[in-house]
Amino acid sequence: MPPLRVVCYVNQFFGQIGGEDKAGTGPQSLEGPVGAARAIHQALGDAGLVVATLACGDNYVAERSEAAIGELVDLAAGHAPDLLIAGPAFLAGRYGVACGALCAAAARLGVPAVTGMHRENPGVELYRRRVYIVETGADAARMLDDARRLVALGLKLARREAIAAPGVDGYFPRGLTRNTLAPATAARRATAMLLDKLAGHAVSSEVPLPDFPTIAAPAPVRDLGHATIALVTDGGLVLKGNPDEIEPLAATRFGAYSIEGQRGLDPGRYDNVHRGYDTTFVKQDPHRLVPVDVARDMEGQGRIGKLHETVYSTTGVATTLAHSERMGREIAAKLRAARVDAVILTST
Amino acid sequence: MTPVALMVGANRVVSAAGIIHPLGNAELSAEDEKALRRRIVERALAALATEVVRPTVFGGEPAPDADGSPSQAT
Repeated sequence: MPPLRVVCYVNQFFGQIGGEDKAGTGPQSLEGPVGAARAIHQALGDAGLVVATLACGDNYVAERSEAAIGELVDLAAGHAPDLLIAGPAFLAGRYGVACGALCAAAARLGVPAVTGMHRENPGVELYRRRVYIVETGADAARMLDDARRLVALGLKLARREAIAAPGVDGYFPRGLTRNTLAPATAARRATAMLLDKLAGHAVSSEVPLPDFPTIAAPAPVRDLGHATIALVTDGGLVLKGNPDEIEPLAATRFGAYSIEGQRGLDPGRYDNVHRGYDTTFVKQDPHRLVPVDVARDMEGQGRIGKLHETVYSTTGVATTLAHSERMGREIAAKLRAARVDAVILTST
Repeated sequence: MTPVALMVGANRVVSAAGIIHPLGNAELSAEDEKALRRRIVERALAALATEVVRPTVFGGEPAPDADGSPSQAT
């Protein structure tokens, strides 16, 4: 097999261009292995050659990500690589995000790509679902070892060999589920796991629970009498006919319903499509889900400054975490733009 | 579903009147039902005005679902 053509990506520091003072340097293509790419070259041995090293300043990429990644992808494509290896970026945040973005872009063009980072690099959470990211140390102390592991996975990708589970091939889980044949039934495996646990041995679940990040509590509202309060729900309130086509379960969409000029929610105007609970009672009276009537009273009495005139709604049942987070971010951005001070989110 | 709210890290959680009608109760008179709703929203406002450092449940309406409805909703 002829040696593979490998293109490496490094930042200004690992490309030996300079430190923070050179972080604004634009993309450049250097011949052969330069800087940290030498470790990749060494780890490749006879299997491949680093034909070029792309280098770019961290700030240059961070400040104009899309354009910079486009330029780097064009430079890489000029070398017709069989494999792109970015980093490793260790714990360097801007570098990690750039490596993730570049690998994702390369993979879209059909060029196998791999990068490496420390587990706390923000690039991991941003890109681990789309990109193979090998887990590395926090700094370059074990550069050659880390480079060897990037190369091992990169060679498998370039040769289109089967990729093993994350723990075996040393990359961060991509959230993919693959069917495999287990040697014992689920009952036997679960029993064995329980016995191991009782015996005090290490047990690892076949279905790890999602890890919810800690979210800092927003500051309290100091003066409710002058605050704008919005009502949001994941309980499935929709306009009659569901014009926004909000899914009854596993939602990807939310509705924005104006309540301007309305004292409350008229049951004749609304419906409920949530498929996770008996919606009979909230269809009879939507206030049992979204308390517009009471909030209007409070607005009139000065208990709150203002009721926000848009109610946001979706269905929270079998909704993926990714879509929930995205919809939450989108709704929050709209509420923030409308200068809403606080939200009451009613959930079933 | 307050345990789910706490698990995902919601910081200010008010336990309400049940899954099938979190802000109401069809067995009450219209007047009592609205008063119940007002109490829950008042508790939500009190929670919004309170400093918290970790996910916290504020009070509870002692009215769990009487019919043991499915608790699939989150």
